[in-house]
Amino acid sequence: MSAHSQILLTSSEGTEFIIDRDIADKSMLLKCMLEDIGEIGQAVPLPNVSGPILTKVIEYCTHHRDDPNFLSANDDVAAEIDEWDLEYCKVDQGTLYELILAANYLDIKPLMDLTCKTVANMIKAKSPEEIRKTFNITNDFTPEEEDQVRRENGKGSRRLS
Amino acid sequence: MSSPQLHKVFGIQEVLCHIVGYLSPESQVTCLQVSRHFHTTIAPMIYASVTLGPMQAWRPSLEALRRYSSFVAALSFDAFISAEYLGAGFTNLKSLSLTNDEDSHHFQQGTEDEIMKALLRVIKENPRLSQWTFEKPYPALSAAVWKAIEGTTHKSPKVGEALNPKGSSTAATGSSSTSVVIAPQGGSDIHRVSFTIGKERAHHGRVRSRIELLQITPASISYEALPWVTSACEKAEALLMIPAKLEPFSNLEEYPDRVLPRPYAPIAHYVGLQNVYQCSSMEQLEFLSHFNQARGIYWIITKRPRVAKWKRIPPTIKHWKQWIQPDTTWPHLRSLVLCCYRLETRSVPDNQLVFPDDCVAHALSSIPRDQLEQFWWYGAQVGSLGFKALAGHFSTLREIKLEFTSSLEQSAYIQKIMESCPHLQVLRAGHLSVGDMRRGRPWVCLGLKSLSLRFDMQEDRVEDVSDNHINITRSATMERERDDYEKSQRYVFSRISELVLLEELTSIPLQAAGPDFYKIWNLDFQLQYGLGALSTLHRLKRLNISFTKQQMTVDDVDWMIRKWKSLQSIEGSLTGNREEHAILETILNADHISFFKQ
Repeated sequence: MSAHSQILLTSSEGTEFIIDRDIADKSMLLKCMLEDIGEIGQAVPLPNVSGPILTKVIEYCTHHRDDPNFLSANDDVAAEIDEWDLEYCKVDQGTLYELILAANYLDIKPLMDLTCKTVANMIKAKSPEEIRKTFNITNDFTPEEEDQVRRENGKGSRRLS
Repeated sequence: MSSPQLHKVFGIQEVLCHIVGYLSPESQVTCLQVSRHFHTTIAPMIYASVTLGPMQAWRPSLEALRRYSSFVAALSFDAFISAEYLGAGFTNLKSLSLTNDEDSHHFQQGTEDEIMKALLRVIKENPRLSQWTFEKPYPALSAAVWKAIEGTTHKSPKVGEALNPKGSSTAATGSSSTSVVIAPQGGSDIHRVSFTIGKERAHHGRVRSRIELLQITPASISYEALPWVTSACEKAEALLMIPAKLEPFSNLEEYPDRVLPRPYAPIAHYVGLQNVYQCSSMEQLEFLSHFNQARGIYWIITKRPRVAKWKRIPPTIKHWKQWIQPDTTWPHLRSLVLCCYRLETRSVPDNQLVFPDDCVAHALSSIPRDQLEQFWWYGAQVGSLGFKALAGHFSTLREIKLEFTSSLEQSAYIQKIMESCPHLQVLRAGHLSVGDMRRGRPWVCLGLKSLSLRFDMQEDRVEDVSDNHINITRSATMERERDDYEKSQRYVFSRISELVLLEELTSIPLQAAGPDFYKIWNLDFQLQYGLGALSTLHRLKRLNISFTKQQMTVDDVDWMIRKWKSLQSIEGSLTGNREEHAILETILNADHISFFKQ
């Protein structure tokens, strides 16, 4: 295997993408697969990822190609999103959700963290009704259930003193 | 046209939980009210760990706690304890924490009797409960509670817990552990007792309890808990910080003749003595020498001038051998930590309070070669005997911390360590001179992650600067050093650049007499002196230059930010000029790099 070997990926529509091995290794799914079976010279099919989304994923992995902390756990909930990542996530909601699904499927934790954090930022400081409206969620509680859940959890802040 | 549907991304439980994990408790609870699906998915996650405190921004209602009690695995009362909340019907608790402060009794709900009853019920109804933290609990925990806790270690295993009914050797052992943390019930000191009790399944499915770790500070045992803790001591496989006869703190000043509790079965794998003032160092040494199964020995003593001479560290090998067991060997030792910290610097002759070179050599020699992984030796200058004995472990050592001395001898030792320890990850020691670096072989410790050294820019120094008292009066020597300064700086930077895995770099100042010596002898983090060579340190997170006089410029700091992408903090003074310093700080802050001025 050469130091700069390349991998062929096929998106759900059959579009082929040639990427460097170190870019592919950002995905734990691909990394483990390539380590287990070796590079067989054939395209790796990714039936759950469309071409446009795969393009975005490759863009992300390429940007973070030399990031030494890429694979280290980033569990800092309060950590701010860096400028490039912030710009990267300025996409429509549908694309953002597809990126989450792709990150989840390909097992790219930093991308998963980034996209989920972006969705979480859309939830912050919203009321239940506003959250429903933002994400097209139907309120399927019965009035009694809704009343109970609100009673149990509605008063967010309680202090003893 | 159909109405827009909920995207499938929210239908995947782990994804929804991942998203909600980034929210504050208040927002998480709001999500519970969005839909049935959100409620069903998120509730187990939110209620898995509950902290109840008077100042919590969000505290679940008692009604909610009763409904979701089966989800709660970790329950923590912070300065607030309530019989009613304890009785919410938990059945799946794994950990319970009662932490308190001085004013906790203001937030107590229920009488002491009610709370103790509720606590006993919790212990009874939660068979998986295996971790406790009690920190100055209010009210005081009753003996019945201790008994109940101890009883949990003897519970029969549940079906499916790695039990092999046929008793075959392959699955004969399965262990779980119980961790208990106790803190003093009075006083303001934050002393805590913690220990981990394990259950080990021996052959034929029998369960025996064992103490995996016992950690005690002198002030932390109440009379009530004493019998139970004493019993625990006898089973301990690891002991840390043994108090005098496990007695309360009030007796410590009396310095009884025989204080170390005994007999102890010498089965502990990790043994530590820390600041046990009430007995002599020789008694402590005798105590340590019993533990021939030890994997780790931690002996930490604070230099206290008022300690009687006979209580100090054995001054000579003769005394050492008198107290150490004649047949002492530590055949399994991986970690040896010897620390003697100085509380007051005056009126204590160093040679009376340090770990003597020949004694440390004796201890190191009792360990089989190529075995030691961690070695600390604070409180004395490394001597030739100790270093020679340490060399027997160069191939396995991962962490070495030595006293900061500036002797010529130590510089040679450090160079030797760096060229001989291939697995070294942490090195903290005294000074290393350019002369020794040039004369030595290439470094092999290329996996080093943390390096703290005094970099001495001199090629060959004739003066020994032991004890940090440097007096060089010959101007000719200084003049020659000035000429060599830039060359030496570049050389040192180029050598450090080989350590590409470095995450922490500390340049310790070389103490010197005279205003110019800082400038001459310390490593100067400037591009004009070769800082650029350190562009290989991609993983560098922390740079500590405290008390070294630096004269960084905007270019230098810009370079650091650009090249050290992992940099999180710098400690020390960047430049002597106050205005320029403020500008540099602003630049660092703009890139979210923490800065701490010494």
